[in-house]
Amino acid sequence: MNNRVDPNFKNELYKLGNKESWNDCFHCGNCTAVCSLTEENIVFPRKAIRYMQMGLKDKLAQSAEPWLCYYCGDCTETCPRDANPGEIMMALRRWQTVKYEWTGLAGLFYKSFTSLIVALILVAIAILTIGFMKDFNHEAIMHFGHSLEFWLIICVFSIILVPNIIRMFYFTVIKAKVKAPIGSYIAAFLSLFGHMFTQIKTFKCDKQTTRWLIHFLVVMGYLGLLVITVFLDWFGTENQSIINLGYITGGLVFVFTFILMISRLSKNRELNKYSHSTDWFFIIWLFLMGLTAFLVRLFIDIDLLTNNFWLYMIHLMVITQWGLLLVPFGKWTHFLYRSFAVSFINLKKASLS
Amino acid sequence: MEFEPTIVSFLCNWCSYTGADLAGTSRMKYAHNVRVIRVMCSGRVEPTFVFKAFREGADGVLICGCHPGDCHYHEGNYKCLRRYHLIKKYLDQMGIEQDRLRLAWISASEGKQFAELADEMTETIKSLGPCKVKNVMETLT
Amino acid sequence: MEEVRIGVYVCWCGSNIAKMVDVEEVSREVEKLPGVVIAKDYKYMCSDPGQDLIIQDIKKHNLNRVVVSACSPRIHELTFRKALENAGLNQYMFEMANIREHVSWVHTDRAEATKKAKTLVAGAINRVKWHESLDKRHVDIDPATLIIGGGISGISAALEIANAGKQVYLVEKADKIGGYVAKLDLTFPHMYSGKDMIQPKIDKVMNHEKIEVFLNSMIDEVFGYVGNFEATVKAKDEKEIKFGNVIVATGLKPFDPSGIDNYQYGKLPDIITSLELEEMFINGQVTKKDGTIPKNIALIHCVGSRNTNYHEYCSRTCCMSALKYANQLRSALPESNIFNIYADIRAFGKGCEEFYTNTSKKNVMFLMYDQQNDLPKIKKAGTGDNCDMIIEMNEKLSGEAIEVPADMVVLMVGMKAHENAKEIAHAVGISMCGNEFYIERHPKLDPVATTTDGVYIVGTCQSPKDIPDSVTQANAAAARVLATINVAHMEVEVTTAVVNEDVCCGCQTCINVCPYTAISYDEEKNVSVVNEILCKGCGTCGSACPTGAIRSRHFTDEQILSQIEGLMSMQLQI
Repeated sequence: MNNRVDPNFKNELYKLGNKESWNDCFHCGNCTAVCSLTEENIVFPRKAIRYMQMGLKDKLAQSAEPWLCYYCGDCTETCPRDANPGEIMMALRRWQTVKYEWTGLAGLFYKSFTSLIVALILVAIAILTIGFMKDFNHEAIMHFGHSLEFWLIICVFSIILVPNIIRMFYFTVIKAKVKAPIGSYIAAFLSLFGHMFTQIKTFKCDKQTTRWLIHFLVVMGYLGLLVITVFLDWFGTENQSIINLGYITGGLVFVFTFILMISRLSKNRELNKYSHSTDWFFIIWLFLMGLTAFLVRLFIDIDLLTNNFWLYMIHLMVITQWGLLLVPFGKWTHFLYRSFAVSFINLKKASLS
Repeated sequence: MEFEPTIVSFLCNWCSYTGADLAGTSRMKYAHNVRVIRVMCSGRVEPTFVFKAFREGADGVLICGCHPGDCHYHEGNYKCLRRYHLIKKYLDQMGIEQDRLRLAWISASEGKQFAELADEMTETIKSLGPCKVKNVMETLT
Repeated sequence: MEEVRIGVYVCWCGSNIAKMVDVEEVSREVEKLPGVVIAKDYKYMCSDPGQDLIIQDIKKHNLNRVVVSACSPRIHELTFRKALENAGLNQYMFEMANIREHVSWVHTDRAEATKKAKTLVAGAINRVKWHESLDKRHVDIDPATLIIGGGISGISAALEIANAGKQVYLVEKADKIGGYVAKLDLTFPHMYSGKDMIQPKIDKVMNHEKIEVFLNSMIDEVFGYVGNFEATVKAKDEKEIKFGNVIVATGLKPFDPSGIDNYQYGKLPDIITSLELEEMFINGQVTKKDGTIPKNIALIHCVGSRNTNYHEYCSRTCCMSALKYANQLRSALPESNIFNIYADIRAFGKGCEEFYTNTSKKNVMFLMYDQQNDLPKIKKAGTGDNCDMIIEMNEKLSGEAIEVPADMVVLMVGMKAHENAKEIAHAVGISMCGNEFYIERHPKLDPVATTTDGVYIVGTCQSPKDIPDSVTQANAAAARVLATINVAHMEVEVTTAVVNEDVCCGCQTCINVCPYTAISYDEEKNVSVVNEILCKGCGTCGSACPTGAIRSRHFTDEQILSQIEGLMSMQLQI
């Protein structure tokens, strides 16, 4: 195991949103003391901050702890040194997102705003080119769009996301020498989906009910929209209840992401104060996806789409950019890492007890 | 009731008394049996003082001075050391156990050592029991 | 003999005594003892109302002896003696029983503590019965001052005194004055140049008409007493000097790290001490032994300090010096990696915490180790390591065993007392504590004076300290010395020995034991004679005298024997 300190590690974190205050923390431990989620043997944020200061990358790769933090901001408010532990944890999650992603594209997009913009433009051009090749035939394009969504989901999952989760498992369980009994693996697997869809642990933090509700509605809206558009063919269906359900889910997504954007702009809470470019891309594209999907179906219903097919082209661009770039290489992955982290940490606890 | 000895101790002003004060300011705890008399130098401790203490009923006598070479008066502690060996012999002849008298070096910074010494000495005297000379004196008077 | 009328005062010292000793019972019980006219207990005897209580009682009850049962006489004996003087009583008609440091603070059983307190008070009452009035002796103060050591402390004190127009003899062992400050490139936290700071002062001292500087010189024995010392300066030509006060400023010796195996000092080329790094800065270039620039530089704090195997005390300046080096290295070698391997950062003092905060923003990595049980270990790096040395350590804040790359390791060596400290202590008659720093008269209330009148200690010979603290202490000592010179005479203790010529048989035993050659033999009378000026009152002669002809004033046989009786009689009563 490489336990060599690395003074340059902090520079890597600057690019991921941590400010130059890397050395402000003097390890009083107040952050850990006020944290509602830290437990015996599962200690954060202080310890992760120490690893960051020392540049112990291997140790950080092996720590799933940053994903247990829901960024209530208590630590940052309590910190006597204004070292901003909450934001350091956020930056560490970005670093881990980059670390677990095997192609290196996440690293490129997280550290270089320009490269992501270029990639987004390239995808947009590709969609336009495909539209051009299909002579902008509405039916053909919409058919293509529908199957593109389907194949994107299959490919992104199998090529990027599943290998990434396996890498996360490799680092945080195997390399971290977590030796848990078989039974605990089953328990950890069973608890996985509960956390994935409910984020139930958020309730351990104080003052988080509204935030949880908004997040929950966005998640539910997003997953609903995904199912309804991809598997129930929202844009093609005649079934009124599916159509209505689509409106509801699409509406949920763009209304609540809009609220989230406003709060990020207003910087009214600790977690909103600093936004990395990837945070913005994630939330704006989620918003655009919900909004364009909603409008496309609305235009179909009031028979405007035929004359305004540009709208569908935009929608298609947005979801392709989303599925091809932002889901596999962006912040979307937190959905998986957070849920799996809870399970992996349960394994760690089982191995320690 | 357990035997509680009384130990009269002579402490030199510069090192040992200061050391005992340090034990106090450091709030170290030690046996209450040691009662202190301050002298300017351990060289001032006359054999008479020791015998007087035993005569008055002390169960032990402790003399403390500066470490060799550190005496405020250059060599008073050496004088005391020589005298100490003589007094010990004499105690033996009087039927007082030699262990009832002890000379130790305590510097001004050795509060801890003084506290430990007081405890140690108390234990030694407890194991020896009350000094018999006391009874002899009582029958004589 | 006049009727003995004793007043006994038992102090509560707030709750310091009263918590563990039943002061009211002590006062009640001792009031019954013969000779005691009145016994009282009071919250704070040393306070003004407390002292007034004694003064009023002396007048009202016609007391001629006073016993105060309170803290250590080392703390308040003089306070109460003064109160007696104010009441028109001779100050030696007083005795203290120490029931705080020797009772309430060290015992846990209230009943036993109270009993012990009573015996101590009874002892003091018995003793004070035998006290006699003694007159203070006045001595003239020679206005010259001897200063031993020409570092920043000695220089500061010398200039203060000389600028007031008084003669100073400055004795320095080395061939130039200036000490360690003259060897410093920059000083924390303001980064002033040490050399530039002290040079004008050195020039002033060397050219001052009131300062006589002896270089390459030592002092052997100092004879005499406050106001009237004399000594021989040992140099090429010996010189006799006379002076009224002595300021000891012998300074420090850096800790030698070669005894610490883990640090490999002297075994690997680029492990240097902080002083060697200082020299590199003075010479303008920080390089490895092979002349190349180090990429990774580690500064190890607390070398030889705060570890019971070496020195338990904190050397107080190394943390800040290490931060200073971090700053200097950051500007000199902007591309280098700097590691401060520390135990705790002690950034007290004006501007120091701010200095620490600023340094921590300069791309310096701080790694914490356990300075008592787990020192870092330096070893030669392997071929693939990309650095010369590897420091293995258990980092305390993370709990991880880590490796730190290093091409140069700087050991922040602590301060020791000067190698001549012991010699000087004997020469001037002051004491050293276990770690060879000189003991001050009172650690808090009188940190400049020593228990020997007229001898003051300043700078790092008293304890490790930085430049401002040394200068402060030096100036304080200078002020004290100037005050005594200004008054021109001083009261000194008269607890000297005195010979009863009627009893003395002229055996001259006392002459052999006196360490100060203060006793001479009068052949005509066939008796010993004590020179009260040379006598320091140790009492050794008194205990050696076979006929009991020598009395140690204020520590007479009667006083001590009676005290023993008192200690024991109370014991039997209970």
